[in-house]
Formats: sequence, structure tokens, C-alpha cells
Amino acid sequence: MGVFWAIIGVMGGLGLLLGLGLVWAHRRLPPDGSTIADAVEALLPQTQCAQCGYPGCRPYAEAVADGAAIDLCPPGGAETVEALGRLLGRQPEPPQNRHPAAPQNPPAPASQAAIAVIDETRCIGCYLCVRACPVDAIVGAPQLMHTVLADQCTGCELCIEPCPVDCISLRPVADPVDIRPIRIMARPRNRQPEHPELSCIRCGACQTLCPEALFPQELLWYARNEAWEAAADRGLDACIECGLCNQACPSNIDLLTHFSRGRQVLAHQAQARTRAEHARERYGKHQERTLARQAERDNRRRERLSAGGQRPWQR
Amino acid sequence: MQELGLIFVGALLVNNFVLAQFLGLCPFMGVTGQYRPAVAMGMATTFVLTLSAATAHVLYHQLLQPLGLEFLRIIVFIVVIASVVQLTERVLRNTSPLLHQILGIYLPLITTNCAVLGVALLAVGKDMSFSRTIVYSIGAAAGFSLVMALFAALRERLDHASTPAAFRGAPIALVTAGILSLAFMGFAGLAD
Repeated sequence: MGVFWAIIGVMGGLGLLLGLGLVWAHRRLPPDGSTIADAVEALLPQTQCAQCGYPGCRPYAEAVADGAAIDLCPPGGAETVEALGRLLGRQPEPPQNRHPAAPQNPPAPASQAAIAVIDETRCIGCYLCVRACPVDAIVGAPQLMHTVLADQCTGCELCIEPCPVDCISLRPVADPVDIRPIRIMARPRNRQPEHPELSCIRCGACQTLCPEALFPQELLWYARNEAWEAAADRGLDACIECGLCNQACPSNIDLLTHFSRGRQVLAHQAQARTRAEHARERYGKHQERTLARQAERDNRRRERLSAGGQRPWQR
Repeated sequence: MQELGLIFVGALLVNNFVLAQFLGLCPFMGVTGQYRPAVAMGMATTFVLTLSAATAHVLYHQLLQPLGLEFLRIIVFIVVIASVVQLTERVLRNTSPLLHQILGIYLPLITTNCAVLGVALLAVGKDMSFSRTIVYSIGAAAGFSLVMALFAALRERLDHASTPAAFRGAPIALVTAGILSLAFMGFAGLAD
């Protein structure tokens, strides 16, 4: 029986002692930071855009695990800040605590988030932005125009810098005016003449090709003089911006740029017009309601006077 | 002093735990695919082996023998080894996360490395003193690390050799291990 208790004592004591030793070692050693950094990294958008001031998402995640501000990630937007705050139980810090290289403005809330938009009439199909895009939101092929998939774009701005013709700009997502040129034919690069535009020789080649049966030659005339109203009367709205007129023109006139610009101007005008009409309508209705109320009040007063100046409950 | 030297050389080369006594073959085949992890594994095992052999020696002579509980030595040694391995893993994860990731499952598997238990049991069985146990375990650990490094280097070269298809991978590794073992047999008689 003595042996039995000795065994119990030795094994139990040994287990307790070693377990306590391990717990002590666990406490003494610095906590394992990598797991926090892993969790943070999982929440970051992995665009590797370096807008946070760190070279990539992993370094930023490690910095956050070490206590850097959580609101430095513009592509992640407000969602990421919120998720990081939930994970770490921290609030975005005041601006003076920021990393010196960090952007001065915190990411905009989702309603003001911006996406990149390529001015496709100016795109020369160099493919540089496609390579730069970390989320594959730009589609296109070399020598052909590129465009941005709006729902994929994170607004990281990485494509803006490589563009040799500066045709990429950020546009707020909430901007309702979004005239996407629907150009089918791209302008081949080797057809760029030394003098971009010679005068129109009125050959009519563009007219024969236009799939919408417009008269590009005439539209160009209005467009050059910015007579957009007149151009609209001649059917500029119907232009599908296919680029066939550009292909046809022997003088290498970039008709499409004029037409896109015109369509944009017209769209803006139309938008302004609708807005004005809405306002006018609202004002009219408001006026109507006010007049109706006034008339009702006058009626009641007249009634009261005819009843001898007494309030209804005094009668 | 000379005796300690002989014990060291004996554990290192003559009675090499891997190639002469065939203990600890799991990491010997498992982690020797690349040189660096193999050496790291040798280092980790060296640490665990020496520490656990010393602790086991103390426990055996100070606790188990006075109580007449020698038959408990295996289970007690296993508990000790497991704790030391836990400690090693913890330290390694803090000091070198990359190495921790490379060693992966083989690190906790040091617990089941029979060379570690074998050294503790043999040292106790031969009734060695504490200092001899330390030298013996350091020798055994150095022998293990040496063989790991040698075999890993050989396998790295084998990867680039034009091995017949049937021998590629594990078969040629086993053949190499056999030849290496034969080579180590040449040390017999150098020391006891």
C-alpha cells in the first residue's frame, strides 16, 4: 500500500512541478506576436498598395500588432477600420499619433469611397495599369483600351502613377454621372499621325460607316464650336462611341474624343436640367400646399365671423 | 578525464545512436530532406537530449531509487522529456518563428524520439555518475546532429544526381543510410 501512495505522490508531484514550470516559462517569455499579426493580415485587403506608409500588407499588420494606428488603410475603407477595431478592441487614433509617412487623411467612409476611372478615349493600351493593379480590376489587352471593373476597384491609386498619358482619375463612387464610352474599335497606336488633326476634307467616309446613320462630319463642326445643343439636335445622343468614324477618317481626326466630350457635356446638362425640374416641381407642390392651407384657414375664419365671432365651443 | 573523452567519442561515433544502435530513425528519415532544417533539428534535439538526460539522472537517483520505485523510470522519463520538448518548442517559437515553421510537426515529435529516452535509460542502466551522464548525453546528441547533417547533405546531393527511377526518393535514401551505417561500423574498436 505504501508503494501505491509513493507512486501517486511521485507522479502527481512531478506532473504538478513540470506543469507549473511550463506555465512559468510561458508567462516569462514574450507573447507570441505572430498570431495577432496573422489575424490582422487576414482582415487587410492585400492590395499591397503601401498607402499606409508601410511597404505592404504584412508589414502593416505586424505594425498594427505592435500598436500602430488601425485606420491607415484606404483600400480597406471604413469596413476594415471597423473590423480591426472589433478584433483589437481599439479606436482609430488621433492624427498626431500617425506614422510619419502615413496619408494625412483617414480613409473616407464608404459613401465617399472613390474608384479609378479610365478615360478610354485617351487610353493608348500600354497595359501598364493592368500590371499595376493589385486586385485585377482592370481589364484589357496590350494595344487595346483598358477599363476598370467598378465593383472590383478598391481605389488604391496604384494605377494612376504608371499611366503614361494620365488618363486615369479617381471618381467618387456616389457620382451618378457615369458616361462610359462604349467604344468597340480601339485606335491602333501606329496610326498616330505627327499632326494629330488635319482639317476635314468632307469626304464623307465617316458617314458611310456610322452604324447609327449619323453625320459625324457635321457633328464635328458643331463639336469644335462647342455648339452642343445643335449637336444634340443632330443626334449626338445616339452616338454609341464605337470609333468607326476614327478608323475611317483619312485626315486622322479624332472624332471620337469630340463626341465623347460632347456626350459628357450633354449628360451633365441633362442631369442639371432634371435636377432643376425636380426642384421646380417640389417648389410648385409646396406652394400648392401652402395656398391650400391658407385657404382652409381663411374659410374657417369666415365661418367663425358669420357665426357671430364665437369659437365653435363657445356656441 | 581520459575516461570522459572515451565516453564522449564512444557515444559520438562508435556507438552512434542512429547508425549503430538504430534509435531516433524517425527524424533521421523525416527531416533530412534539406540541410538547414536538419541541422536545426539536431540542435533542438541536442538541447532536449542533454537537459532531459540530466534531469532524468537527478530524478532517478534522488527520487526513484530512495523510494524503491526504479520500475517507474520509463514513465517518469517520458514525462520529463515531454515537458522539456514543450519548453524547447516555446522558446523556438519566440526566437525563430521561421525555424519553428520549418520543423513543424517534427518538433513535438522529439518527444517520441527514442534516442532521447534511450540515452536517459542507458545512462541510468550503466549506473553512470552525473558528470559522465552529461558527457555521454552530449556525445550522443553530437552524434545525432552529426549524422543528421551528414545525411541531409548527402540527400541534397542525391536530389540532383541521376538516380534510376525505381530508386528515386525514399529507396535511395534508405540505401544511403545503410552505406553510412556500414561506414560508421569502421569506428568499432576506437573506443568502448
